[in-house]
This record gives sequence, structure tokens and C-alpha cells, in this order.
Amino acid sequence: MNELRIPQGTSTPRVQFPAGAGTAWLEGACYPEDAFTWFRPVFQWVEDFRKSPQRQLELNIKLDYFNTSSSKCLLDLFQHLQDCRAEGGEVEVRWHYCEDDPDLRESGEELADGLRIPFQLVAY
Amino acid sequence: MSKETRLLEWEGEGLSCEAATLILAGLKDQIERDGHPRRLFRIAVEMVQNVRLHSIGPAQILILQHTGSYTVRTENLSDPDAAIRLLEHANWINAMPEEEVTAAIQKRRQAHLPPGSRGAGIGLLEIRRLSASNWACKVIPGPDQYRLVLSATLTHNSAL
Repeated sequence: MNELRIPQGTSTPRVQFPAGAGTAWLEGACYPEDAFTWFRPVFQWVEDFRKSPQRQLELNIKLDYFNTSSSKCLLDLFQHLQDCRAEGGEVEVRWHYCEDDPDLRESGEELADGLRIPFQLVAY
Repeated sequence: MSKETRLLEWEGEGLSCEAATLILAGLKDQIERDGHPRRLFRIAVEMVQNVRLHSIGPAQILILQHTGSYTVRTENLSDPDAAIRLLEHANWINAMPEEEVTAAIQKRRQAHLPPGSRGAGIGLLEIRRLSASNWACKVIPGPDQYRLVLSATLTHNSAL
């Protein structure tokens, strides 16, 4: 499987996903008008990851802003990772939030609610 | 006497995706530079993207800072059917007890969307939540097109 790198855009985050097991990052702001299209390569990467022999992933999310469509895509992404874990993969999510931004912390808590994957809230 | 400052004013026809992105990027920089609440940007994103979804002609976006509060207001011409659907959706949201709003957002976030969906259908719910219910959706009927007006206010008591 291939590494996925997308540079930060005006309304989209920097994406860096490894070519296999490792650490992945989504960092910046995420409010594209068509989030479902923008997230497609990310979902494709997760699909490939689920088929790969080495399924260990630490996904770091450090988004200061995201729109509601992107929040749906993030939840879909976490659910795909949850499926991967159910298939034997080792995945965890680290949700980074600015400690003076309670909305961001609450968003992380909401997205983690009901998920069966390790989900850490990390203040910075 | 209360003071009012215009943080953003845009008026025009056919708000393009590129223009909306630039307007929001400029607003984000301004909010971070001048220390306005981040929540203001979160509301503005949903409202500007709502204009993009529903506008079929001239539109206006206005963000005002008052003493102790902020107002985000958008107005745009809309197809009558789309405007009525949005108003019904807003009425459904407003009829909901405050404590159920977050659960409704969660439920919609988990829902399967049909292919080709342009949004997650959560934007107005989020505007209500972020503004602590200080928001309004109005439709002003015209002969062929309707005017759709959305406004949300952030106050020190509720959301700042």
C-alpha cells in the first residue's frame, strides 16, 4: 500500500498517512464544501490498510476547525478503523485539542462516544 | 450606548465555492488575530456553506460585533421548495428540547447518506447548539423566488 500525503489547503488539513503500519496525521482546519469527495482518498487508504498484513496504526487528529460534513466523515473514518480492529488490527486514535477550546474537546468526546477503539483526548 | 463593528460584509450574486473559501479563510485569520471566539467561525462556516447550498441569486453575509455579543446573518434568494424544506427543518429543530439537540446531531452523523448528498444535514442543528438557541430562520415569499434569512447570535452569557 502507498503512503498518502496531501498538503494543507485553504480549507483542508495536511494529511500524512504511512505506507503501511505507523503513525498518521490529519492536521489543520477541515471545512471543505464537499467533504465527502475530499475524504475519498483517506477512505481508500483505510480500505487498503485493512487488507495489508501489518495493521498497526496510531491516527492523530489535530484539527482546530471542522464543518459538520467533515465531522460525519471523521466518524465514518473511525468506524472503518473500528472494523479494522475487529478484524485483528491494532488501531488507536489520538484527538489533539487546544486546552482553551472546550468545543474541540467536546467534539472529540462526542465522536468517541460508542466507538470500540482506544481513543485518547490529548490537550496541547 | 452599544457599539457595533462590522467584522465581515459580503454582498453579491452567485457566491462561488472559491469565493466562499476565501471569505472564510479571511474571517478565520481575523478571528485568530483579533481574539474573537472560535465558535463564531464555526457558526460562520455552516451559515456561509448554507448560502452556497441554497442560493440562486443575490446573497448577503454579515458578521457584526456588538458590546458583549456577535451576530452572523445571511440572506439569499432561494428556490421556493428548497426554502420551505429548510424552514420546516428549522421548525423541527426549534421544537426540539435543548437537551435533545446533541443526540439529534449524533444520530444524523451516524445515518447513512444517499449517494450525491451535498451535506450531512447537521448544519442547522449545530448552529442552534453553538448559539445556545439564539438563532432564527425566516422565509420571505416573493412572486417566483423566496428570500431565506438565517441569523445567529453569540452572547457572553450563552456561548462565549
